Amino acid sequence: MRFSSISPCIFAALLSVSVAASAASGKAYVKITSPVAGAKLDAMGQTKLVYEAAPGPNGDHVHVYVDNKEVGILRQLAGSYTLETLASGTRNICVKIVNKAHVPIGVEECVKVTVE
Amino acid sequence: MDLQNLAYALTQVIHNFGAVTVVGGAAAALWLAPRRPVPERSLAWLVSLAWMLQIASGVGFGAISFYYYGRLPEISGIATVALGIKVASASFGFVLGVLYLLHASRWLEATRQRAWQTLMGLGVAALTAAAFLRWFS
Repeated sequence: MRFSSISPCIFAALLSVSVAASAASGKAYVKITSPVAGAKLDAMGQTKLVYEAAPGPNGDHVHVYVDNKEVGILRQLAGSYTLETLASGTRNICVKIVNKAHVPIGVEECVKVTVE
Repeated sequence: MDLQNLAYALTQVIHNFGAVTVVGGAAAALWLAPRRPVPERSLAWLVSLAWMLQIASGVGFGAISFYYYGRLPEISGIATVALGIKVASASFGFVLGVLYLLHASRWLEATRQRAWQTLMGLGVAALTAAAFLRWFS
């Protein structure tokens, strides 16, 4: 096999590695799309949490918390998660980026909601 | 190379080889029991050292996390139970290994055999718990 015939493949492979590396080294963030801060939720219903996250160079996946209690581990960096029924009152819902050892890396977003 | 990942990886290397040794050492002692002489004391040293390494590397994971982020891994539910089983297995395994080294020469053959069976069981429990800790956290 001649080098000229495989060089496009090598170039494509190097490019894809480079793109993946730059995506991983981008700035980490979390965004909770739903529920929005201050939302009033039904205590009898299930709440759908919609989020997106970028792990950055040190993050790996995200954990979901309600009032500082871990309720879910999400390996998808964007999507939704159905929260179990929430007790009435003010609740703090957080999504935190954690590393492979499940340590929060300090990047998170929280929303306060009222459950009635 | 990212030093944080290197630290986690090197600790994982120790943890993995420790896991192989706690189970493999006990299995070897049981497997070789019908043949004489069995280097039981050497195996007991090996298994005790491996349990100690398991404890040290387990603490090491937490220490690395604390060094870089000022906090420990956050786990809950099944993962917490699995971690508890690992800690209990490692602690009991290390103590039993040391007791074996100190007193096994005065134990009956059946007692020594039970000790190895227990060490084997602890190794299997710890490795099984490790799988649950990995995938439920």
